[in-house]
Amino acid sequence: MIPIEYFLVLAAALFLVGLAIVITKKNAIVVLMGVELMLNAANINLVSFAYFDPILMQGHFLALFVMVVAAAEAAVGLAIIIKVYQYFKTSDLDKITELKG
Amino acid sequence: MELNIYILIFFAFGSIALLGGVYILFTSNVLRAAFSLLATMLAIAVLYLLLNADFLAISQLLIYAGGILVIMIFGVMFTNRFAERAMYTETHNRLPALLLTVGLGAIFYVSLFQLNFSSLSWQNQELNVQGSIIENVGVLMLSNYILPFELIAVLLLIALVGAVYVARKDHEVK
Amino acid sequence: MEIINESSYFFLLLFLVPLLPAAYLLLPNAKRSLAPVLGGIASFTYVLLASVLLVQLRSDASIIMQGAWFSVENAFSFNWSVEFSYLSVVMLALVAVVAFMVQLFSIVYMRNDTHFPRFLSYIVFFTFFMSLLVASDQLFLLFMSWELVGWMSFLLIGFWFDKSKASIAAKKAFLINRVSDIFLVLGLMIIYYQFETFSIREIASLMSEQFFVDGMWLVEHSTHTNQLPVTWFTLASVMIVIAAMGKSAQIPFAIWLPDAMEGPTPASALIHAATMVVAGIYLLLRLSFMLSFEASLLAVAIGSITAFFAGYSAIYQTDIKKVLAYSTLSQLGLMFAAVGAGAYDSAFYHLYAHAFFKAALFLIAAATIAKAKQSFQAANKKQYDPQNMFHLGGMRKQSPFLAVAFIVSGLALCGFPLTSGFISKDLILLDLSAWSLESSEAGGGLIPLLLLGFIWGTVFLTPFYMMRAYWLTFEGTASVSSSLENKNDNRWGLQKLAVAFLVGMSLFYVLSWNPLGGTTHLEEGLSNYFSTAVWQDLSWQNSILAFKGAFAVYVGVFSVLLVIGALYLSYRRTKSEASAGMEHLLSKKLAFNFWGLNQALSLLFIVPGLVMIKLFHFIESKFLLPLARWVRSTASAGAKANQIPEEQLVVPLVDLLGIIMITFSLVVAWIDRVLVDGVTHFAARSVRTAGGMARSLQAGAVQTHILWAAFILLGVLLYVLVLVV
Repeated sequence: MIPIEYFLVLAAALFLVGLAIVITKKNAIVVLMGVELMLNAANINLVSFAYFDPILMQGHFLALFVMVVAAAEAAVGLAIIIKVYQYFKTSDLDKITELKG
Repeated sequence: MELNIYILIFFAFGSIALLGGVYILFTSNVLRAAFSLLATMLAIAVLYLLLNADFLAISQLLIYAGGILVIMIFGVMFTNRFAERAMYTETHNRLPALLLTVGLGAIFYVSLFQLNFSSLSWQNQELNVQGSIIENVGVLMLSNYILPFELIAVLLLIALVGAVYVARKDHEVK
Repeated sequence: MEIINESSYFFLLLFLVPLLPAAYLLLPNAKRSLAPVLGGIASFTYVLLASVLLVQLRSDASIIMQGAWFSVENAFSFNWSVEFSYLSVVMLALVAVVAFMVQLFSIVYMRNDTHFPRFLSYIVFFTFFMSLLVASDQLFLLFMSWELVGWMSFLLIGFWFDKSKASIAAKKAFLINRVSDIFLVLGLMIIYYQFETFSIREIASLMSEQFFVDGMWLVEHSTHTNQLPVTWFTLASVMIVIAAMGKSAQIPFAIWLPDAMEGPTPASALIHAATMVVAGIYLLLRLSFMLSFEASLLAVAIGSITAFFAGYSAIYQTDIKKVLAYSTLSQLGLMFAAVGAGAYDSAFYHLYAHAFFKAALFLIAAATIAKAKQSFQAANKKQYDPQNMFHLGGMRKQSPFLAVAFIVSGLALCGFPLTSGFISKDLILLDLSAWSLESSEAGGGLIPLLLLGFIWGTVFLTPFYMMRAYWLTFEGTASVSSSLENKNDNRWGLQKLAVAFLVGMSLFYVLSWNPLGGTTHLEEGLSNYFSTAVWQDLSWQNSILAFKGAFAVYVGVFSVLLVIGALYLSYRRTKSEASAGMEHLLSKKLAFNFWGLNQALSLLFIVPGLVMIKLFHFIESKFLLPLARWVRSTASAGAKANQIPEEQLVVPLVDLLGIIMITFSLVVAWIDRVLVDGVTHFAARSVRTAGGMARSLQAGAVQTHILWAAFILLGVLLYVLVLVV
């Protein structure tokens, strides 16, 4: 079987790439992609540990719920992005610096 | 460790996943980034299969590839100001991000290799998982995990209603 | 002695409670209408707390509350500790009562000021800091509150910060105090090195077991003995005396106090007359066991010189507040000298009595100035200065109450019988006379007698300038006919109450039931607080006691005669002066400017820098340029003489010289640009960068927020990793 470290290293690398995307990209949609990438990295960790827990499968379920939450987040996030775009006429995060509602 | 077929599959799809992510990081074309994310998600689904998580792999395909990606591409289309041109994104904060990722990466690396996983007892237990885990998932979801399952269902419903409400056409635009 | 530990110090928290309304009053949109109530109640709380302590405390006990304050890992741990001994509680009550009276007075007096709530709030804060100073048993805490009261003094002198004179005076007071505070820090360092504690109580108990063996100063701790040459002991106590000189405005630090009169008069009454400036003397009283012979001598010398010369300057002042300021200097000098002579209890009696009548005098001056200002404005005479006594005059008719109050408190200041000033001043005179005669006999020669002369001179000068101030202000003809009807303003009552209370507190019964002295109320409580000074041996004490017994009556009688004589002489002289106006003799000018002390100090510390600049300019213009010319002319002459073409000899030489000078100037320019400007630029740039980074936290750029959060995560992970690995 594949050693668990492999998965962990891959997940760490994906997480860092996702974090870099979140920080550097200006477009809100790409930032959202970065967030998805980070969530997936976490999921890989969960599932790789759950491999050793075939009875209760806690990691599987947590990963599953993370996916659902990610889906919800993507839906709400995109709705907000579209609304923000209508209001500010841009989806660049560095131009949206107004904090008041 | 002998080089078996699983290792090969892991490296192939792991590198696809990683390269997909890196491509998002370095491309400025938003649509290409979205398709690259699709590749990453598919590769991760294969990795789930390697980990005996076939139900999760299917879910990954359905939710990410089929759902989230489509929403994202819709989003790209909705927020593209110049319909005749592809959508591009700029970058900023490059140096701090580099410092941060290198720093965090170093910490992850060091902390991962501080651990000797093969010495852990549960690592070496006998696993005799045969066939699909879907049956087990179904039983557990409606017994042990019924409450989180219900809650997540409600959450999803609320999120969807909320998303529709937020994105609705505002009739009293000034 | 009762030591109370952390469990029950909620009582101390009560001292913090009045700070809440005071802090509210500091807010820019605090309600003005609430200010009198909040400020008054806050100040009154301190009076209540002090009275509770005063009633609770048996005269021989002291309550000590302490707790851990902060610690530097494995090396030092500091406790805060507060001591309510008889001395500190009496002082606390004094501060609280005077502050409350000043607060009552200011509620009316300052009510039309733009920053009225802020003023009341400052008074409350000052009372708190002063209470902390008075009660703290820990030198570190004492130093902290010492700085804090200095800061409040700065704020109150510069209260009208839009007046440039006031803000300059505030800066001056603050900076001069910093100079003397450096000495306090140095003194505390020596003390801590030797005693390894800052607690005055512990230092005192260690001091009682100390030894001076073979020129070494030994302090025995349970595990080891610290030793230093005795010089360090002398040095530490001299440092403390210098610090006290700064706070109590003795020569040469005295120049800040007359300038401090730019602040609002009630603040001057509280801070620059009654309470804060006596903090220096209070410090010496607390650390009286630390005062070496040399330090005591310094205190006597400085004190008596300040007393005399400040008193002499007061005679020539035109500003009524300045007269009172110089008289404060003079009285502080008396207390200082008494501390130096080892007469700690007398010094404290005078401090105690002085606080009341000097506060009263200042409040009276404030009320007089306010009245004069009103009538000047009513008569439309803008050129008249309401603080100038020559422009005042005839105020008695406008306000007989103020005149009587001024007479009573002024007589207390002069040391007239039946007043508290008489009792305390008499004791000081007796102690100082005994001290100077004894030390003159013990080999001091003429110097102690000269200092004694200064002290007695002060006794003569005080009635002299008070009479003059009274006559010029309250008698004579008014420069402006009082068209203003003395309206019965019901708020005037509060001012009257404060003044009347303080004047009432300047009569004899405050100190003793016997109007001619004898045992004072404080004597029993203080008797076991002050031991005799460390440098006094038994035979010295006996001869001092013998002197006191023999001469007590003569000193009293002589001082009264002196006061009456001075009053009469001053009366004669002032009448003619009031009609003739000021003459400008050199001696008068000198006295008016406090003997040019300001100018002397700036000559000493500021002029050297200017001289350096002039010197460089001089070297360049008178030396370097002529050198260049000389080289050129001799070279060309030499060329002519030796038949060499000028280009061969002169031009290279001049070129060389030019290169040298250009190199030199480049070096100087580099130094100027890189070292001098560079430091400033670096400071400015780093501040800007830090500001930009701090600002980016709040700029609403969401990714920057994530970045910072991630960096913090990085830091936490790093810390965890370092802990684990």
